[in-house]
Amino acid sequence: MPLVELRGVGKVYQLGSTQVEALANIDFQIKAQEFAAIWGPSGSGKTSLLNLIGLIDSPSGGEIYLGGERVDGLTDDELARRRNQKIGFIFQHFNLVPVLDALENIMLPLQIRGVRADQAKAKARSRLREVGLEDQWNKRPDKMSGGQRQRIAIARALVGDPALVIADEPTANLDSATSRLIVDLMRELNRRDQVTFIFSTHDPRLLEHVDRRVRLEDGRIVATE
Amino acid sequence: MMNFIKLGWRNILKNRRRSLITVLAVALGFASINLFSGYIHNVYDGLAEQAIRGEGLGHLTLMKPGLLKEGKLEPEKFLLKSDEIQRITGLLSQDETVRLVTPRLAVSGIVSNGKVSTIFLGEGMVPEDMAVIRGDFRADRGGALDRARPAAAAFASDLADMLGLKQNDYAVLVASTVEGLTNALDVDVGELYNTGNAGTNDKMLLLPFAFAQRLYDTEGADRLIVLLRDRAQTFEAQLRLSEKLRAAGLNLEIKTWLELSSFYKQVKGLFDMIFAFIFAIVIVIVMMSIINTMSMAVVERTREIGTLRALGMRRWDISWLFSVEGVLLVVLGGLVGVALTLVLAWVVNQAGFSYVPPNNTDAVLLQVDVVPWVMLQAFLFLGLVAALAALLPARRAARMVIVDAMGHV
Ligand SMILES: Nc1ncnc2c1ncn2[C@@H]1O[C@H](COP(=O)(O)OP(=O)(O)O)[C@@H](O)[C@H]1O
Ligand SMILES: [Mg+2]
Repeated sequence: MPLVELRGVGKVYQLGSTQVEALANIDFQIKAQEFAAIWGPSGSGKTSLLNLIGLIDSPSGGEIYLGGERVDGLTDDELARRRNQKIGFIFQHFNLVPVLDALENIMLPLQIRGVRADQAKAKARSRLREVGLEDQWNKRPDKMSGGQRQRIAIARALVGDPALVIADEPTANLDSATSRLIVDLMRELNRRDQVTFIFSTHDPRLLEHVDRRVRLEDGRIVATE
Repeated sequence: MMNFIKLGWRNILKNRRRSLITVLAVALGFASINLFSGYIHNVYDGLAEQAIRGEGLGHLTLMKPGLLKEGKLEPEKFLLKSDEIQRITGLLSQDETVRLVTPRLAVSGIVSNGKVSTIFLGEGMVPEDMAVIRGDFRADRGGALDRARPAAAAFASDLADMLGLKQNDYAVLVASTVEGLTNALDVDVGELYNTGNAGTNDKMLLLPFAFAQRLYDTEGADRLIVLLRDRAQTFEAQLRLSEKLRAAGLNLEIKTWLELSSFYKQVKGLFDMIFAFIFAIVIVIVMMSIINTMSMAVVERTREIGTLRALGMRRWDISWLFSVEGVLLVVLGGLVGVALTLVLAWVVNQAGFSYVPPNNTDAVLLQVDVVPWVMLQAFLFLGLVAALAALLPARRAARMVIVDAMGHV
């Protein structure tokens, strides 16, 4: 059973009176523990696709399955719970909460889940160690570099032991050396924890070590290798 | 929940200037409510004491039903006879809240200095009982009756002035008796006093009770005044004593000082309305500041809202997050407001401002009471208003579509 499955999924945005078809008839699967990249030029529909897989947007048509469960059509609260328990997010703009320090940011998904503070803190600490920023635990995001912030975000994405981590252009705001390190870190965690990763990029240089590449153009999958 | 408070608190600290302005707006509004309610609390208290002790109304007044309406037409019908007075006094004195029961008799007529005359409103009262009722209330106004001088009346100062009378002069009182005959008695001018009320200070005479009985030619009284141990017992005592009298087969009406003091009622009505007005303004100010501040926070933190939703917060959690922050602002404002109230009340009370209220004969001190219970009520109410106000922007935050919020830079 694939971890993620899309059947005939489409996404149409309403932009004023015109309709923009961002995704058309996507059929697509990801197996558990895969490290998959979605790549394509800007505007090809990468973000739209990841939003649907990440359950933060709903498709205009088609069916989406997560771990065998059909998830399109769930209520808002049910989707929120699935996201919190099954999915970790890494964003292009890092999206850390500015008033929380590194450790508190990492604790967030667990606290939303209702985990006791001391347990959440212990878990967050060990994730912080994995991304090599133990000594930065009490720094606020604005005191950290882009690479450090994204590592905090990776720790946050993994802290709740999700089945799937979604990273939408995680390196778009980083220099190429740092980008390399971030992708390597994700790859390492994917292997070690056997967490499924899907990330998007428009940079072909980052595709060397992935299990699978899905090429997107104009809202259609044009190649899968 | 704990995290919501932490997040709210951190964000309040982060936007120091904006938070400070909001907190100050709430604090000033809250303090103005507290100061005004503290002021009118003091005024009500003063007016109540003035009615009970100054005017000598006591806490309860007993009379035959209808005295106030028809007493002038058929006076003898409404008089309490001396055996009735004794029986009632005995009955009421058993009640442990009752401190004193004393008879009263109103007589009015004309007072003359030998050359000119004017009307007077006389109140016959037992001198030593009157001393108990007055207690230590405004001894400076004078007006005590001397039991050693059974024919000396206390004159209201404007009345004495009109007739050119001074202490120890004498005058003649002419009045009709209970039977409608004309009676005249010499009276000594005892203490002069200030009624405290411009409307009565040129008419009132306080007469020794026995003297009033002689002038009216009766053995009875028209009212019995009850002084309780505590003003707070007034309404309870009214009910219980009515019950007791009815059980004893006595048909009497019991009025409280509040029912008889029309001045108190008027002032309270006016002040309560002004208070409601001020309260309404403060509520509007608090609501506007909270709505404004929280709306700005929601706009600024749109992407954060999207992120938190992606991480699994439900819409409801987002509502809570912002409502809690709004309430925190009001709690801070409330605390600062309490401090401000205490300081300002202290300053006003120390400054000793005085003023002459309408219809008063002399100046009174402007004092502000600090009434914790009233402050707490106002505070809880404002907190509720703030929560409701914060709910508007909070709901807007909660309704955001995640992808739109995330796309927001
Ligand atoms: N919220 C939106 N409203 C209208 N059009 C959108 C919206 N989001 C994306 N699009 C359009 O959908 C297409 C795919 O966008 P997107 O998924 O962001 O691609 P990518 O992430 O590959 O750059 C683009 O043409 C884009 O303009
Ligand atoms: Mg994109």
